[in-house]
Amino acid sequence: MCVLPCGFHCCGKGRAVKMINNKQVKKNGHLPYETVHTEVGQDNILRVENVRMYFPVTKGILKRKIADVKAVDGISFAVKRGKTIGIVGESGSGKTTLGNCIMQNLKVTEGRIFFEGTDLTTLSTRDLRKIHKELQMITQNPYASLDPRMKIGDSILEGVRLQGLAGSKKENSELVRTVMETVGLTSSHADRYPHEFSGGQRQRICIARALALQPSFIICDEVVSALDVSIQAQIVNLFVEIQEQMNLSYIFIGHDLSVVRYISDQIAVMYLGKIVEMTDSEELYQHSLHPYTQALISAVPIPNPTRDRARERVLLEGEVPSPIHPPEGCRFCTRCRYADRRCREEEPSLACVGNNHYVACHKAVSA
Amino acid sequence: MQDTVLSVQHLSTSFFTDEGELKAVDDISYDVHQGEFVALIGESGSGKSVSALSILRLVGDPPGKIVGGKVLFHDTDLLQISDKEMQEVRGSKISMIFQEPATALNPVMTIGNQIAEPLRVHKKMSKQQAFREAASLLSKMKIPNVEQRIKQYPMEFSGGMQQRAMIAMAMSCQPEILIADEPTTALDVTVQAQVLEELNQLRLSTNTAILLITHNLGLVARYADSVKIMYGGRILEMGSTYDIFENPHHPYTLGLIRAVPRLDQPKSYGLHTIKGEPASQEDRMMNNCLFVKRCKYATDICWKQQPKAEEISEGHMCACFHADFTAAEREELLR
Ligand SMILES: Nc1ncnc2c1ncn2[C@@H]1O[C@H](COP(=O)(O)OP(=O)(O)OP(=O)(O)O)[C@@H](O)[C@H]1O
Ligand SMILES: Nc1ncnc2c1ncn2[C@@H]1O[C@H](COP(=O)(O)OP(=O)(O)OP(=O)(O)O)[C@@H](O)[C@H]1O
Ligand code: SF4
Ligand SMILES: [Mg+2]
Ligand SMILES: [Mg+2]
Repeated sequence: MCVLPCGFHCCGKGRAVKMINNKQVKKNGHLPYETVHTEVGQDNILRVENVRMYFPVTKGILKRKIADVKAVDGISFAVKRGKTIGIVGESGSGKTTLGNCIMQNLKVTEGRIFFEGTDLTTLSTRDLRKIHKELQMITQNPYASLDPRMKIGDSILEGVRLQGLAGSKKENSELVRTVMETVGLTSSHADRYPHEFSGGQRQRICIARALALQPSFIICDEVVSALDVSIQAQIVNLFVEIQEQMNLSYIFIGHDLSVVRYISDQIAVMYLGKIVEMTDSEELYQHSLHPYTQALISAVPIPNPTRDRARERVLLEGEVPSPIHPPEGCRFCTRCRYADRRCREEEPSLACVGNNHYVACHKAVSA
Repeated sequence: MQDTVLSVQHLSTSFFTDEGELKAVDDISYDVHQGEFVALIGESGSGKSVSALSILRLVGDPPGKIVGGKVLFHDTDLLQISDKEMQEVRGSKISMIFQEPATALNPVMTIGNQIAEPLRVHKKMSKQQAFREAASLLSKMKIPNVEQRIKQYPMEFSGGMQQRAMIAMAMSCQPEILIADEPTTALDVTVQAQVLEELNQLRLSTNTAILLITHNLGLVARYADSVKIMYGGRILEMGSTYDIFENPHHPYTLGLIRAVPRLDQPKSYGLHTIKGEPASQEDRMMNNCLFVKRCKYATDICWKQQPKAEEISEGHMCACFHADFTAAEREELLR
């Protein structure tokens, strides 16, 4: 076991690479040089190092700062090219704030964010704009994020125009046609307005709009949470398909572990601004170690009454405490059924328990 | 089975707009028993909300109109009584939590006052009594620090607490039926699970029947006694929760259940999708199976006639010509 102050470098980049290589060898029979090179040289497309985002809480007309909302409080992880990291946690755990920090929509209080090796936190607005061609975020609400007075074809091209990358009229409509077809929309509908589309179709339009810039990385923030099951399944599968087609990397944010797990290679579980557990998605649901993760798993019912009703359920009581005054010790201690004195006094650090599995819990590590 | 409290019979509601008639609810029938937990599921636009609003005569007219059927509450047809009598039923006998939560709570009134008001109006309680009752309901819904919370305004509540307050308000007059239209959809899954658990406990202690409209099939499997599957304004299949999830017969029901991502299965189990678009206005006017365009089992007859609901077993009805074609898929589901 090794404790990790700075993220998760110590438990073997070497090993991770070897594992990937083995898989490749099995699949292709031999390993092309290029693959080896990219795997070793440009393993991570994104690396987030110890990021904190505090919002000041002010009082009175002088706006005197009285406290901080510690929305994101020391987060580190990395995303491999062409892969997906899922981020799950309850409402208010800081998922959207983290996404906005990576996008540089928010100026981080502390920490660094490397995208393709460049530290985004140091870039000028002009350089950032170039990065935004590669790095896109699709947000929570498909209704609010489309301008109702804009034809969807123009909405899709908006980003391209802002980047100064718009081509001739013919090239533009060609681009709109391609991305609309990629996301399963009828391209002849480009002249219609958002209200003429259903919720699921509007979400597809938002995806098409992000794809128009041909990004290499997309942050998806609760992109399916508002959709009904059958459409949710279509959109999740669509994300998987375009990832394979375009070698995209994703951060997939959500509160439903069953949805996030479906698309993610790796999952980070967030609680009150911190990662409490992080590992491969299959490992997470088979061998979850953190009591919070176990409660999240338990909150997802199985659509089979006999099996679901026979399950032992760990229901979380109460709500997430305020991020202004997070609990002393382990942040989860106020809701944890295993909490003891040590948990209330000493904050557990994110520790590696082998097998690319990290957990911040006194009980899980000593057990 | 316990007594029937509500019997919906051949209920049909349409909207009449420039584009002609839209059959939002088309000839649906079902019973709700005392204390029963009934779930209504189906994709967006299938008529769940409109069918619930029709029970309480709350569909906007125009453009909406209840064009046929009966809604028997005990033995009274709610579609025939006077507006004044209906008002009385709405407040105290059948209450409803609406789909848009923002509209349901009054932002300038304390939570306590909002819950106490119907008690004073319908149950003629004193102010003090009503407040005591409100506090007890809020604590049953697991709201912490009730004494303090009861004096707060809705905006001081988190989404989950607002939802709990709304349930407390709707349950305050001990209605015989609570209609809850997606009370938890906007909340995260852990809170959804908590709120539903508390609602269910409350139901068991008061014997109120619940008609829950939701997209969350998992929670339905966990709590409901019976399930109606709606599609394009009709009920395609209905039965006990066990019938629907463990012995589903309709191709649409199967598609819907298989679209739920499952934690108890390996990833390779896959996420199934139902191809195509929901039933359009035109589709609903045709005299064939509503699901035919999207159905992988469809044959000639499905394009020519409307399948009638047939009994699979007691209380388990399915409207499909080829309910037995789905056997293999059913087996796969239970794997
Ligand atoms: N601009 C802001 N100013 C002050 N506090 C903020 C701001 N933005 C977010 N917060 C707070 O930071 C915390 C994290 O919020 P965030 O929106 O990131 O959570 P989330 O995990 O995305 O939740 P949800 O699932 O509801 O989307 C919350 O307590 C929120 O109130
Ligand atoms: N006021 C209205 N005017 C015209 N059409 C309406 C009106 N209200 C509802 N409809 C139509 O009636 C049909 C059924 O709508 P309803 O709101 O019952 O769907 P739902 O099953 O509740 O869907 P959701 O899951 O999205 O809430 C839809 O096609 C809808 O467009
Ligand atoms: S009646 Fe025919 S088209 Fe309709 S669901 Fe059954 S098999 Fe499919
Ligand atoms: Mg968010
Ligand atoms: Mg509805």
